[in-house]
Order: sequence, then C-alpha cells, then structure tokens
Amino acid sequence: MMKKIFKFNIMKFIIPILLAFLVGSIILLISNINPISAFYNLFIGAFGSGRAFLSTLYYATPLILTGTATAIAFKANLFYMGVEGALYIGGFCSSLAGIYFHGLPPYIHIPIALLIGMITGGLFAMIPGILKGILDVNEMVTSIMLNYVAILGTTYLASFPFKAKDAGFSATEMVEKSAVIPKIFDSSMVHYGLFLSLIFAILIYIMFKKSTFGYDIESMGKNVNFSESCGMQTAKKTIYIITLSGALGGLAGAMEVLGTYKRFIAGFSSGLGWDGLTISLLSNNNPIGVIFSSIFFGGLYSGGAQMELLADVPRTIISVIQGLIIFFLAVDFTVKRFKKIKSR
Amino acid sequence: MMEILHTAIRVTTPIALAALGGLFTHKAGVLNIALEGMMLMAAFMGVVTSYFTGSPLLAIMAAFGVSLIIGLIFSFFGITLKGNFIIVGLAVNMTAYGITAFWLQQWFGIRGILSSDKIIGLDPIDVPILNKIPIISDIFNNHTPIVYVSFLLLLITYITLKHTKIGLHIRVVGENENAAKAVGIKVNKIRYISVLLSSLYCALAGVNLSLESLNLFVEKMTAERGFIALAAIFSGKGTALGTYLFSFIFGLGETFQISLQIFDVPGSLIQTIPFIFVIIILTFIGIKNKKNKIKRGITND
Repeated sequence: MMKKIFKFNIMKFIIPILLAFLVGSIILLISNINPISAFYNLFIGAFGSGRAFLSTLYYATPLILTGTATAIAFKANLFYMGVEGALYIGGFCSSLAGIYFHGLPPYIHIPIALLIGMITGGLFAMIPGILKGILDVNEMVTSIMLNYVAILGTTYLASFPFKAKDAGFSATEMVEKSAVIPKIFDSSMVHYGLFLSLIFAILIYIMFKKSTFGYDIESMGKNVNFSESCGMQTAKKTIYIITLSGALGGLAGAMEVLGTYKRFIAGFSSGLGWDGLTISLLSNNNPIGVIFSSIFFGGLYSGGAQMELLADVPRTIISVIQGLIIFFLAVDFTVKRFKKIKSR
Repeated sequence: MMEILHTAIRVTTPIALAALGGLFTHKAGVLNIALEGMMLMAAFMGVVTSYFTGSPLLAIMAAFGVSLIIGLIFSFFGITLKGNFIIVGLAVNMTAYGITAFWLQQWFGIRGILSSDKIIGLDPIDVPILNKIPIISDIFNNHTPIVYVSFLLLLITYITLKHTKIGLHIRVVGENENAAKAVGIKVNKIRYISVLLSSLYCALAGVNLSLESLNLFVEKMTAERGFIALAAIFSGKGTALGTYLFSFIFGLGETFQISLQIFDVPGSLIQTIPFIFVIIILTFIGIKNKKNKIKRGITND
C-alpha cells in the first residue's frame, strides 16, 4: 500500500517543496539573510533530535485533522474553505463542555467534549453546505465570510460573557481536569490527540477507498453534472460532505482546546485551517498523504521557532514558503510536463 | 444620514475597485481570487514607498508596479502553465500575507502595524463646483482622490466591456473559448490583459486602504475585501453597474459596523456585520436564481 501511495505522489510532493525553498532562498538573499544557515536551523529544529521531532508531532496533530477535513471537500471539487471557522466554533463549544460538566470521569468527559466540538463544527459548516447544495451559492465566498463571523464571534464570547475572571486576556475559564487530554510524555507537549488524528485520517482514507459515499465523493469531484444525471443526489451529498469537513475542523479545534491550551483562547488558531488547505493540496487530497504532509508542516513550525531564535530569521518566512508551495502545487510538475515545456 | 452615505462611499471604494477589476477577469473566464493578495501587496508597497520617499505619487507607482508583477505571476501560473485558478489565487494570497509580514519584521523590526509620521498619504479634496450644491456636497464632496477615480473607472469599465473591441474579445473568450479561437482571438493574450487590468484596479484599492485617511499598514488589512468583491461580482451578475451597486450594499454593511462603534457594543461582535451582510445577500440572490432555474446540479464556476 505504502509503495503505491508513494509512487503516485512522490514527484508531486517533492518538486513543489524544493522549488518553494529555492524561491524562499532568493527572498532571504534579497533580505540579506544567509538561506543555508536559516534552513539548516529550520531542519535541526524540526527533525534534529528526539525532542525536536516530538515537537514536530505536536504541531502536526491538529494539522492532520484540518488537512483531512479539507481533503474531503476538495476531493469532491467543493472549494469549502471554512475549516478555520469550524475549528473556532468547535473549540469554543468543547471548552464549554469542558468547563461546565462536572464530576465526569475522563473517559466520558473527554469524548463528550470532543463530540460536542465535532457536532458544532459540523452544524456551522452546514450553513455554506446548504447554501451550496440547495441554492448553488458559491461555497468559497460564504465559507470565508463565515470564518470571520466565527473568529470574531468567539472572540466576543471569550471576551465578555464567558471571560475568565482571573485572565488578563480574552479566554474562558480552564476546563475541568477530567476534560484535559493527557500528554504522551512529560517532556513534550504532544498529547494523545495525535493518535485520534491518525485514526480519523485512516478512517477517512478507508471511507474514500471502500465506501459508496467515498465513491460518490470521487465521482462528484470528477464530474458533478454526470454524477447528477446518473441519479446521484448531489445536492444532498454536497451538504453531507461540507458538514463532515466542518465536523473534522471542529474536532481539531476541540483537541487544541482540551489538549494544548486547556481553555478557549480568543484567536488561538494562527491559521491551522488554512494550513490544512495547503496540506490537503500537497497530499493530493489523500488522507494518508495528509499525515506525511502534516508532519512536514509540523516540522516547519517546530523548526521555525529554532530558526528565529538561533539564526535571527523572522519565522514569517515559513508562511511565505507555504504560499510558494501552493504556487508550485497548482501546476502539475510531472516529469512529462517538464519535457513538454523544454521542447516548446 | 448624509454622514452615513459619505462614509458608505468611502468604505465602498476599495471593494468596488477590486470588484470592477475582477469583473474583467470574470468576463474572461478567469476566477481571480488573487484580488486580495494584489490589494494587500499594493497597500504594503504604497506605505513603504511613501515612508522612504515621502511621495504619494511614487507610492501609487510602486503599488501599480507590484500589483502588475503579481498579476503577471498569477497569469503565468494560471494561464500559461494552466494551473487551477483557485489554487494559484490562494497561493498569491498566502504568499502576500506571509511576505508582507516578513518584510515588516525584517525591514522595520515590528510585527502587526506600520505607522509613522513619515508616511505621507493622500488628503481629501474639496471639489470646486460640487461643494456649492447642498445635500450632494455632503455626500460626494471631501473624498480622497481615488474615490473620485473609482467613479470614473466605473464608467470606463462599463464602456470598455460593452462598447470596445477589447471588451468584446474579453466577453467572447469568457463565454466560448473555442469560438474565440476559431475567429482568431488570442485567448491567452486576452486573459493576460484582463488579469493585468484587475491588477491596476487592485493597486488603487490597496493604496486607497492604506494611504487615504489612515496612513498606515496593518497585517492582513485587506480583511477579505477581495472575496467580498467577488461576491459583489457574482451578485451583480457580472455587469459593471450591478457590481458597483452590490459593492455599495456591502459597503453599507461595513458602514453600519463603523457607525455602531460609537455605541457601547463590543467591537468584535459588530465587526461580524459586513460578513453576515454578504451571506444574507448571497442567500437572497440564491433563492431568486433558484426560482428561475429548474436545474438541480451544482457547478463550480
């Protein structure tokens, strides 16, 4: 199985990354920064030691979910970009479940809080889903608008009605101890949510490959009009797909809140949903590929911190590299394609 | 009331400019979500140039320059290399977010906001004859130069698309690529032209955001106006007047947000108003279209 996935993806994965780093180097050179030392520190900070790798896995945990969430929609050729918003809604609602449910044992409290995150994230995603499925309103625009509504709305909720009394910033109370997802090692931030992310990515992979729903998604992605005339209820399926995507986004938010911050903090995400989008593209909408791409992206974050500290390079260069990766992903860089360009 | 309309025209301007520019690409069959990134880079370059030279004119030239470069990159990846327009557009936006933040930190050693006395912006102008007419003067006078340019561009866009050869070619390319090829229109060339036109409009929109009245640059200060502009194009059914009208309606949403801020309502809640506004209007238009259409499928166009 692994061999097949790699054979299929390897060039699509490697070439855009190399090109992005190449252009990134040029940008660094223009800005008077030595790219070799910058990227060396980036790499060491990401994969240079056990500690660094655990930190990479920690950053990868929510990305696996947001990447898979985007992959579901993109595979059906739906440009749903609301994972970021669903993440905020899910994260906020699960924090409430973490705060206000008392006396539950962890093995009940954590799943309930996570489930609430998933459900609310899914319900939130249903808005653009229904608008697209029934009224054919462009899902890209509505989902992006709703992201803002979610981010600003939860900021309001965490700043006023649900603000913790002792917090100097906009955040809810801490969740109950029984709702906190435990860490795997004491020495690292990485928590058991990692396994949950992996399980969901694999489940979605199996769903794509084995279920009729997965088949429907694929056929809608290839040709929606044909699918419709074959009797597939594409409107209904559209709503399902976008809702599922939002539910995974909600779960990612819930895991961040319960595993990392232990409370909802306004504006906590720093674009996890948007990174999921890049990751999904990088892995050709394949959930197994999403796992690897997420680890790569986790490495960018983990290494970015080290690079900023030791090489004095602003870590915002990471966002530039991410953007550049998308550029090169948009174009099919297979070997054949190169030959064609040369021969012109 | 007059004050609200005056503000509405001001906040409509960047949306309308991006939307009118995007209209060329829309008509040429290119979904240009890079409007956002073009605006942001132009806003940034405008502020930086003004900071270093103190000249608003040079700032506008720099904004045009950088926006055109982005337009060329977008066109090269999307049109020449045939990449997916949505993905190339996303790439432009993300790179623009990243690179403006990076340069802000690298050049000025700050994160978030660049604000300085050295940044010289464009001041509002008192239009001679206009300031004599009551009511109208309250609404239309004392705007910054690019606001007036946007009125002019509305007219120019309308005429260009409707009554010129290039406008005809753009429409043919968008409606039927094969037919366009058959009559000898260079499809790629027309698409490049339409993207570059949208770059010019977005450059003005960016400068309007950063150098008119505010004189500062904030990370991601375009705040999804590029996508609101797209919504205005969809809602306005791809006509210049319709696009402007819906830009104005969305601008009104933002105006309400601004005017509500004097009351003691939490800012973050009020800021959602324009976005909710866009969704509600798109929903109404969706319902209206649905009534006229029996087709049930979904398409990405």
